[in-house]
Amino acid sequence: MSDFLLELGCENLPPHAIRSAFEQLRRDAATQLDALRLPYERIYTTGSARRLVLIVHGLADVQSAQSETVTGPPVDRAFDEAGRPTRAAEGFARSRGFDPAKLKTVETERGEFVGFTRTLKRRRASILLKDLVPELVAGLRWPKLMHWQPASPETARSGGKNDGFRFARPIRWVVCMLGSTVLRFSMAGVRTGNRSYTTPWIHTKPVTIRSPKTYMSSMKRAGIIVDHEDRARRIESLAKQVAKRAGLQLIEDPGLVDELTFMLESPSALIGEFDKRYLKLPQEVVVTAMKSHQRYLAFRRRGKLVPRFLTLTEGKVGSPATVRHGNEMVLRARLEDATFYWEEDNRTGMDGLAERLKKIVFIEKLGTLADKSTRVSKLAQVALEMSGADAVDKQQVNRASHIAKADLASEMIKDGKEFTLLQGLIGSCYASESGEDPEIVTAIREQYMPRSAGDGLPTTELGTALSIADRMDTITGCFLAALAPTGSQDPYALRRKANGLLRLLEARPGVSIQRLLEAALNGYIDGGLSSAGHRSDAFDRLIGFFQSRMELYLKDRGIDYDIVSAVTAVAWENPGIAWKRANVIQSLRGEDAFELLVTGAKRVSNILDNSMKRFGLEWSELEAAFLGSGELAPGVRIDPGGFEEASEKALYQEIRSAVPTLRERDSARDEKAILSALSGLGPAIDRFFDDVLVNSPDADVRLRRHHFLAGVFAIFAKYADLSHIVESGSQPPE
Amino acid sequence: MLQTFWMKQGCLILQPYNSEVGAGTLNPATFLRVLGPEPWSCAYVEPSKRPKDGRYGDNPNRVQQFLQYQVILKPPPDDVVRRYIESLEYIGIDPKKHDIRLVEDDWEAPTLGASGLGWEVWLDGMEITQFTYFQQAGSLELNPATAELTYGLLRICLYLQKVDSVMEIEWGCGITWAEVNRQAEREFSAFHFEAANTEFHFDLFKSYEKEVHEMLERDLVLPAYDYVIKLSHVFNVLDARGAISVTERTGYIGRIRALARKVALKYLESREALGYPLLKRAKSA
Repeated sequence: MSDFLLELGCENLPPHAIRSAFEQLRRDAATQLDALRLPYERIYTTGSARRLVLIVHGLADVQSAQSETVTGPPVDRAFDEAGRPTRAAEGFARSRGFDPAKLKTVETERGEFVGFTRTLKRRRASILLKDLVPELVAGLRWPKLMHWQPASPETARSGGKNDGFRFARPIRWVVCMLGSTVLRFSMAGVRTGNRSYTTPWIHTKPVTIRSPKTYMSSMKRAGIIVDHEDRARRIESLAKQVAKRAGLQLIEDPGLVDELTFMLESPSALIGEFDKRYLKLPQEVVVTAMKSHQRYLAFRRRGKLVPRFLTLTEGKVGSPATVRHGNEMVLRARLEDATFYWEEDNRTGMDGLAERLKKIVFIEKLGTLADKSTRVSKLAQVALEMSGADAVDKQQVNRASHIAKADLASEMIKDGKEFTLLQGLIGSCYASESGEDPEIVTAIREQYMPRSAGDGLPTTELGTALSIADRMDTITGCFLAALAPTGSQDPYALRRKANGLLRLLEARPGVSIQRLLEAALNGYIDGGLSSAGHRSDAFDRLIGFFQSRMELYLKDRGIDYDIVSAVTAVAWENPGIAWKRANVIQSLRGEDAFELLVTGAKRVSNILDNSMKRFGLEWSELEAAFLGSGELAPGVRIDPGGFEEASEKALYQEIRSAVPTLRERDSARDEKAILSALSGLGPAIDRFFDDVLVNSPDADVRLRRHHFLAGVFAIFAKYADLSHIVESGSQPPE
Repeated sequence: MLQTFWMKQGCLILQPYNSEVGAGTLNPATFLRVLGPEPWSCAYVEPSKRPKDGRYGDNPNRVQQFLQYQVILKPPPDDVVRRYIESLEYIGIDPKKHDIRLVEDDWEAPTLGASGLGWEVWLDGMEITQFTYFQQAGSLELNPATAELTYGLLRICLYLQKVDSVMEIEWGCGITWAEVNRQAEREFSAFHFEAANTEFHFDLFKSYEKEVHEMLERDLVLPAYDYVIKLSHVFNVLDARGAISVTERTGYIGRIRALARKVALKYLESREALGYPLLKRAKSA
């Protein structure tokens, strides 16, 4: 048993791709070693800017023993009458290098065959690894590959593709050792050896590795922290030390720490300062200038940004003062740019910036950003009305929508570099500077929330309305412009936008997706960007999109699949209602009263023709049908006069008294109370089916009973299609 | 200094091209020579004109014309990064005293259909060089790859002279960069942003485009390429002038790229017809 070490020395790899590369290396190594029958104790992989490392602890020196059985022709064709091997059998044995006399009978699922068993050769790990390593390395997936070796004579002559090794960056050295022995071979134009390097283009002296066991410590002595977790901890502790010494608080940024972990192999801290006059810029602008290009960490004191930064350098630098000065100069230039933009934009003012939106295309064929603002304004009004947030002033909605996108025309965002990440925030800063209503300022800042699944929601009604309207407008527009998501293609991230929209609507049961969609389509048609002719097609496709988003959304939130089907069959267009109902049903699953109701609903559903099933009737229609003499549907009328059985009459009476209660609870949106009222009907339905022969031989009676049950169905169908629910005892599949 | 260093490394020392280019990559010594199997190593200064970056000479870091030092190594030697670092040492930047970092940055020039993988090189946080392993030019995959090192000469001067603004760089004999170039910055900024006659430039674009097609038909590859360079500059002027909308922009870029590809293909044919003379030379050497 020995330890195996592979170190792949590269020119600086792309930081964001390193982790997935060494994780893949670990998985692939495990699979391949298993396939090669080479047992091991543990596989470790890590990576950094200039190396990927694989260490296999306790690797067997030779393959484990295994025998294999080789089968030839069927027994009845393998021997002649005299019991001698036939030519077929002899041919088979010879071709495998085996004595025909020693053939024996092997039983298989397909019958009896002749064959033999042989012990497989046990090859040495040191030999197998020479083939395995290049295969593992070549199999690593990277976002982009490159070639770097000279053209081979063949490809040079033919003008063909470069047939050299392809990798994320050039591979410049390979350490490959089994125990203290170097496994010698060539790959990617490099000969393997036992020499590693720190930064070969600066410190040319190699680090000689004596064995895999001492690899990590040898590298550490040379100043390289090989393990990625060790490096991350080192960066964090450096940053915290600096903060503690200066009495500051570090502005945590795990994403940046992770990037630095894969940019630097021997991180060392250096503090710099900048002029405090830049602190008049919004804090986020300054932090972004420091972080997104320069990768500096920032600090606060008592909640306020301080004019200092922490840069991490590769190793301790020879002249810290020079390095610090250089970094300060670069940051100054960036902050100077930001200041220039800030002053320019504030001079232009909110209205001036909004005016520029008339010249900026939103998405090709979907008008300008100014057009979008107009549509969003109307759509936001619709959303607010449905939310019941009547307190929000119409003028305010108009103003907020008018200037919400103004920052997209600002110098700060138009620059197209790091500050673009701050859209919305920059707009709210400018709005605040120019004295806009504080509620509008907040709404502008919140209009893109939630930006991701983990992001918070807007805190104000106005911000929520802008976010809902913006999303609905973009999704609708993209469907009109044939930019709807297909398969893995979703260039405008419409799925993510839709998920955010559903989250926003969770707490707003009054908002209907269908009505929002209608309003959004009207916006494009009124603006002359789509014609009424496209309306119904786009509408259907959008409905389909939202239905499937809604189903996935509920499943992602842990709702059982059958409950999702039951609820979305009825209430998908009101995500707030669907969400509440789904939770109520999920919480009652397994309780007797609920299970009885489900059984009843299934019996009703099973006996009815689909043509008799009505969804989405109004309460007034149901009241008219049960309490008066209205029609449920053309020709469908409940006729209690003909009821004969006691349990038939009892169910009818129970429903008559339940309808007003249900209506009241529905308008109060008390989902739990509705379900308990429905559950109250369970026993009566149960008795009905036990006592009454619905499909009576008398056609009139049969029709009357079907019409009655159609009414019962219509009542449930206002809540959920409970027939989808899998009764407890029969577990839903995973 | 850089000149001497790269000359000693076996690079041909060339001169800037005689036409406005946005980057040293457009010089035929790069764009055409990276195509095909023939080895090619050269170095030259290139005044690069980027109309959009003009700031009327008021900005300490942005100017509409600046200087690049371009080094082309085809195929790239195994120790190309070390040679680059040595070139910095040669001009007085000691890598042991400074924080020199290779920061991932994959370069791309959409008008030329050229792209590669590499880094921007940071000197104490400042980007001083674009280092690219060229993989594609004229939308054709290269074989072999070429290492392209593009030094930002003004940035390096800022650093070496420890001044805060490009304008303050002493260009020689006590004369500053501002004294040499500020008038040009002011006038060209005004020209690119306010004065350039857009109709005239659109006409130029069309005429140049036509010329490329005609020269290609006559197998005059180098003249055809000259007009691709001119097209690219006219496009930059129109773009800075705000005469090209966002939606049209992609279309114009696509037109130039399509021509660059045609030129590249034709150039490859012409070198093959000549029997790749530099390849033979390298073998006999």
